[in-house]
Amino acid sequence: MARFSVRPILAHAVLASVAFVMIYPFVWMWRASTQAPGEIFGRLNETPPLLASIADNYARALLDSPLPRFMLNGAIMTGGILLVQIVTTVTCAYALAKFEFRGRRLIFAIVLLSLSVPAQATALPIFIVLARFDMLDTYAGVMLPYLTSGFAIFLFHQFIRSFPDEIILAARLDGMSEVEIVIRILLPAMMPALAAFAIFSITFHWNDLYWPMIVIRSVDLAPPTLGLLFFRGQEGGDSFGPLMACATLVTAPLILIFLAAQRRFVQGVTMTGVK
Amino acid sequence: MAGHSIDIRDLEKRFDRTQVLKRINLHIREGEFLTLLGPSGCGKSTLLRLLAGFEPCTAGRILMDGRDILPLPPKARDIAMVFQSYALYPHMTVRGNLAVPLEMSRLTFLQRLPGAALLSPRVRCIRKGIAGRVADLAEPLGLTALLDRKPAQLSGGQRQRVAVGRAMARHPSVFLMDEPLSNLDAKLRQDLRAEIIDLHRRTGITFVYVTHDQSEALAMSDRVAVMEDGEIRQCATPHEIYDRPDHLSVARFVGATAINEMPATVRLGAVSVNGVPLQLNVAGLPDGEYRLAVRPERLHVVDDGRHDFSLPVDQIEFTGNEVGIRCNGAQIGAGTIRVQLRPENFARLRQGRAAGERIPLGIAEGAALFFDASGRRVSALPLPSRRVQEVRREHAV
Repeated sequence: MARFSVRPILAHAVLASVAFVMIYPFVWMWRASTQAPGEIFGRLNETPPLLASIADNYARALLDSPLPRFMLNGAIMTGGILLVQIVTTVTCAYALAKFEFRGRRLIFAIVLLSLSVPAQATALPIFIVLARFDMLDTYAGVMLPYLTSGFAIFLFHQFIRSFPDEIILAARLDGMSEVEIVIRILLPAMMPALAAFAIFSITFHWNDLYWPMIVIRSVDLAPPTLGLLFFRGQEGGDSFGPLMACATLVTAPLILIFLAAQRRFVQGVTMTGVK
Repeated sequence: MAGHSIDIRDLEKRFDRTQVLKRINLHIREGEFLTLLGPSGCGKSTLLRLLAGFEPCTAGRILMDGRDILPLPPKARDIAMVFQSYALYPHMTVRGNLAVPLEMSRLTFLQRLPGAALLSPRVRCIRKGIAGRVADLAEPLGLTALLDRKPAQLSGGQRQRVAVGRAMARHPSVFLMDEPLSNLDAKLRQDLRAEIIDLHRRTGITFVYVTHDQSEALAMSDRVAVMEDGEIRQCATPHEIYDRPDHLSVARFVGATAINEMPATVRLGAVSVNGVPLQLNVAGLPDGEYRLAVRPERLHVVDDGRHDFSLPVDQIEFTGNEVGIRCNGAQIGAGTIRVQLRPENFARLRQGRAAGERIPLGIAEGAALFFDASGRRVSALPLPSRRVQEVRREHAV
């Protein structure tokens, strides 16, 4: 007979139960989005066919609610934040990792310190600033506090520091300016790290509810999470099917992105700090 | 393609409080192959980086063909460099790597933007010229079949060739090489050594080559500058460096087999080691204590009784083209004394002798080198006078 040892079984049991706790809400969300109203919480005598429920729920989610608009808002904000973040953090990380200048250690310490400041602590001052500049209820207002990221600077700094100096010297000798070195040499070599950070950033800002809820008032500018909240408020309590269909549609892009970039993501997370 | 001469004057480099280079003075002639040789940490790579312009120097001047190049950035210095790690751009193909320096020099910033070739026929024309030059570069280096590979898919020797090709792309006047062969295995190193010498002969430009491998330095260079502790101890032809080292540290560093050293006493021109009188007579050397050094192949087995000393044999090694004998030098106040013989001489000697026996040794004429307490060589022997002057003149420069 095969040797059954207790330890791996136990370990898998623990892992499986934790995984179940994580996954179950999504399973429930998907199942609810495929059921007719009333079927979710109790058993109906005659359940409508599955496909009919799916068609009904998803049609209502896409056509009766402003969900496409919410998704567009979310894509603009998340994409904009990511692009600007990469520009600001890669250049900053390059300077911190490869140049020797007065105050370098201090600046890096401040970057690390900023990681430990919770977003809630700075929310009120930033809100006041935005109000003064009349930027509340705009895309820019949502994006502004996140245009740079201490975490990204730290992550990229670790990567760039392990990048060979000689390649950068060779590029300078070949006549490249520092900007071109970043664009033509560093960025292509940093793809795994960029992919890893992009996943973090996109997930966080796509799912962020706290900050948009503070800044955004009009339904037209709401990102998906905030939009769902509006949607639920308008529809009242019983339309769980369409609501869950919306939630599924909002979650789907993230899951797809993660699956597509999974290998690079893992590579990027393990690569920084190993060398 | 003519090389530039380089004049280094009173060059100093300091990192915080450590002085890495101390008042370096060196004249590199145009078209010369000059090697900077020394143990790691002696400042040779730093000197090369100052020449390339990667780091500012603390004091001094560097003139290239009489023109001060210190204010110039690396790309304006008309130099190329091959790095120890080759420093190829990892995400570009061989073709891309070879093309970068050409794109940078022939295209403006706007013309380099992606898509510029689609819009402007002029850019298309320049790009075509670059592609032609890349093909010309790849052909003699044997890279034509590898143009579409990435550096990770190449062997060490191939990467080295790509690095050389990329450095040659812009027709530099000075070629800097920072230990380009140290990451390769022994066989390949021999082959590429020959290729680099050939490249130097073909192009006729000035080469400054950094290495810690003394055999490489002796084999390749027109002149060798031996560095130690941030100073140039001696700069001369490989012959002079080997036969007439100016400094005990140079004598120790150069040579595949360690040089023999023993303490010597000079009284009225007569030399004795640890009380054993030698056949040598060194007129003109003041009385006193010296270090006497002799290359292993300049010690001979002397059978006719006119030997300098006879020492017990510890070990005999046969390496094919020569025989190495290690003797116990305790009797003359030294450690191991190494003797190298040609096998045929050894075979003649061998009869009736074995390890543990004593062999009579004599120092070949003109082979004894005397160093004073500070390690500097004192010329005692009547050297061929022309050579001495040459060495001196090079120092004056």
